[in-house]
Amino acid sequence: MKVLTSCFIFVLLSLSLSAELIDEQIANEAESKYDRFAKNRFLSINETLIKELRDDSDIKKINVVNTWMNQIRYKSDKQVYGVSDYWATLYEFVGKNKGDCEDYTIAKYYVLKELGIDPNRMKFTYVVYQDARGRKISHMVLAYFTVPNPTSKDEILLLDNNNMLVLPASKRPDIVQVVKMINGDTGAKSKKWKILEEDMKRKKL
Amino acid sequence: MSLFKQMALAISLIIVVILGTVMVINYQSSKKDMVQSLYETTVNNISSITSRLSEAGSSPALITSIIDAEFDSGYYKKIQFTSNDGSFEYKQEDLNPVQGVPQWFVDFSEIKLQTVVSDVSSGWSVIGVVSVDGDTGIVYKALYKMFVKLSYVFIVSVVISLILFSIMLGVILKPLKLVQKQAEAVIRNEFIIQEEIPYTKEFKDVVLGMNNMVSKVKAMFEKGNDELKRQKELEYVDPTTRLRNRKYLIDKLPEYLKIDARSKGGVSMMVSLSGVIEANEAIGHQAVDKLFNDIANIFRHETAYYEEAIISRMNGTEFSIFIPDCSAKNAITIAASILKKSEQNIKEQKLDPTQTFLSIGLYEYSYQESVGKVLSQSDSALAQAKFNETNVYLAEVSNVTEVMGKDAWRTIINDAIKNDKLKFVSWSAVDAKMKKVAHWALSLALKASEDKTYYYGQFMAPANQAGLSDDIYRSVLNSLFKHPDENLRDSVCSLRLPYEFLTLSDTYVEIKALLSEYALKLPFKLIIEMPDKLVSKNTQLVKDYKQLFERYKIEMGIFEFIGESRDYRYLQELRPVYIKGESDYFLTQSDQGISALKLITDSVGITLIASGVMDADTLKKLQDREINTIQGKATELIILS
Repeated sequence: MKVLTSCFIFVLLSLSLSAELIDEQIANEAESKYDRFAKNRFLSINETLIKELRDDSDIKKINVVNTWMNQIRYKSDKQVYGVSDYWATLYEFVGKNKGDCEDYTIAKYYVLKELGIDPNRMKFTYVVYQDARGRKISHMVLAYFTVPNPTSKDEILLLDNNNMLVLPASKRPDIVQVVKMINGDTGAKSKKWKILEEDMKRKKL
Repeated sequence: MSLFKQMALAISLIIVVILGTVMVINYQSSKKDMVQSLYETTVNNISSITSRLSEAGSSPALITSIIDAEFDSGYYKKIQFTSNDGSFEYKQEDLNPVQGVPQWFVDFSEIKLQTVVSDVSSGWSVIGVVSVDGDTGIVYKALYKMFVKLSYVFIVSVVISLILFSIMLGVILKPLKLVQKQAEAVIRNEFIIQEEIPYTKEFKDVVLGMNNMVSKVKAMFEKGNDELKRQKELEYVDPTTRLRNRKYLIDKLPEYLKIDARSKGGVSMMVSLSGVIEANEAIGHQAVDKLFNDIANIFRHETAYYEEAIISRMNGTEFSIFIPDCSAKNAITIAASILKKSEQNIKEQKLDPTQTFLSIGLYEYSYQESVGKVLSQSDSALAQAKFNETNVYLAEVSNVTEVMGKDAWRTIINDAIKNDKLKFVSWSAVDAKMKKVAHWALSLALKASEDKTYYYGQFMAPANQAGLSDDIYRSVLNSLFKHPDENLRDSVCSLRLPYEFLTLSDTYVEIKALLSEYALKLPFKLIIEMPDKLVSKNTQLVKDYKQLFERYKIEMGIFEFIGESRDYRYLQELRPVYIKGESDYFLTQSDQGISALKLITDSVGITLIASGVMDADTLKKLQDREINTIQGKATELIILS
């Protein structure tokens, strides 16, 4: 009977471990697929973000996660994946240590969600960004609603890979136009979202 | 292939075709509807995209963002914008293969969706063209799901339909099963009348027809049976005393006077009643007949101890009492008793015992003697007895010169059994009409050494004397089943087993064990011959043997047939494949007797085989009596086709 109980507990533990966003296994797999730095990045997310920030305020979580993710280098999908547009999983993004604006947004979204941020307050936002040279670029940022139904730009914080600081939309004149805001995995499931969800579920590295 | 299987196959094909057609129509119709629906949705979407792009004006960043946002949040294969002057072009396209659907299905379905194209205007000017391809992956997935469901429905429908059909067909064809059973019984020469008449008209007619046919054949058999019984009565029984007659004795004696006879000898008594004419004059025919009957009863009474004793009336005044396994001493005692009791009867009839008296000649015979010799020696003894004061004379058997001593034979035979020196030799039984071998009768040879072989006729007699014949048959059966001769592959062979061996308490069990292990591996078809003396009794043992042989596709044959049974129904019941009798037996039967026998055997499909046919003349006579299958030297005269 004791043996059976032990087996049952072991199975439950295994299941719960594998259900974690980042676990030992994905870190080891990242090491074998990329390098030991990749493993360290995953362990760092686990230690410095997920475990340490769990009891902190939403604002602190957002700032730390944004800063952490923005350390990763920007590279276009064409350069990384050889296609014009690709939504990478958190694991691919962190593992490769590079990605484009959508990949930053996806990674931040999933880590923050793991930290307990309400996913309905996080929006994938298609915007037009104007760079320092005045060029307008199609871009994506993660918008965080500080209140459930914001009525001013001050109540919307933007997590952007082009800016290390998390600023309210009102303080971002470089975001010249907002095209569309969509929910993450809690909204209507588009084709891309379905594929991403599947890839996240199987921890595509 | 059975009718049931053929009908099941045909109906299965129909069911598959119908359900398959429904499935294909359903699939095609659904595919058409889905493609149409997707096209309409794409048209709606392009309208929305065009409106938003119109608002964007000619800002490439905004156009890109709008297309990205639209593409990412919907189901599209491709969205492409090309500016009017060709200076800007942006495209979002999903190049991934369709997920969740096997490639073969994608190749099989081959959905072609028309690209929807629309102009994008800003104010009064057209700034570009947008084209949208809907995501056919949705249709593929939906169609694949539907295909899987339809396949399940198809399989379940086919299985249910076939089960229902099988039950229905079973009910409808139930009468046919009965017809089939009856037909199989007819093939096996069984007379089964079908009591349950089917309700289906066609089957009803067939059953009635078969019943009629079976009744006729049964009547033929019964008629033959009655006729043969009557003939046997006429041919083998003395009407006055109800004793057997001379013909019976002559037909029966070969069973006791043969090399492998179990009885090594006995006494043949010849009894003569003198003074019959005087007795007839004195007391009349009826009283004399009664005297004969009384004397016959004395014979029966005095020999009752000997089950094998044959009492026959040879002619008007002479009788034969053939007693196997009876010593001369006992025979003398019996003869004395017969004389004493008969004399008393004669006296009771008021006849003069010095004028009307019995004389008994006794001859101590050996199984190695011929029928003719035994009868002539018995007659001689009777002649001596008539002149003897006591009216009894015993002629001693002449000593047979043995080639080899009993102990020497015992050693040789035991060695042969132990070291597998008993070999099979085969003699053909030939169908002279068809000019082909009916089967190969297996016999035995004892290969004592490289240059010395003893044949059945040489070693079986000493084997009997030494009490080793059962061991020989046991060894032979083992050898036959365990190490069958490959030269006999695909042929038909017969093996004769004697009465004494078959009736041993262990034989049935031993044969059963052998058959269960080896019978199905035999490379040739086997017929086991059993003596008529055993088969005609149709005891439980015989039925058991028959059942056992049937189970392993082994046929039963009958040998030493002289038709002495009181009823021939056992032939119908046991249905041997053939009956073997001595050629003399078939030739000495009356025409009526042979006709009755043929009627019986023909109605149940039994072949008559005459054995010991030595010359062309005998063969011709047998063929005249429609006995075409023979065994013996005359088979060499037949040129096989």
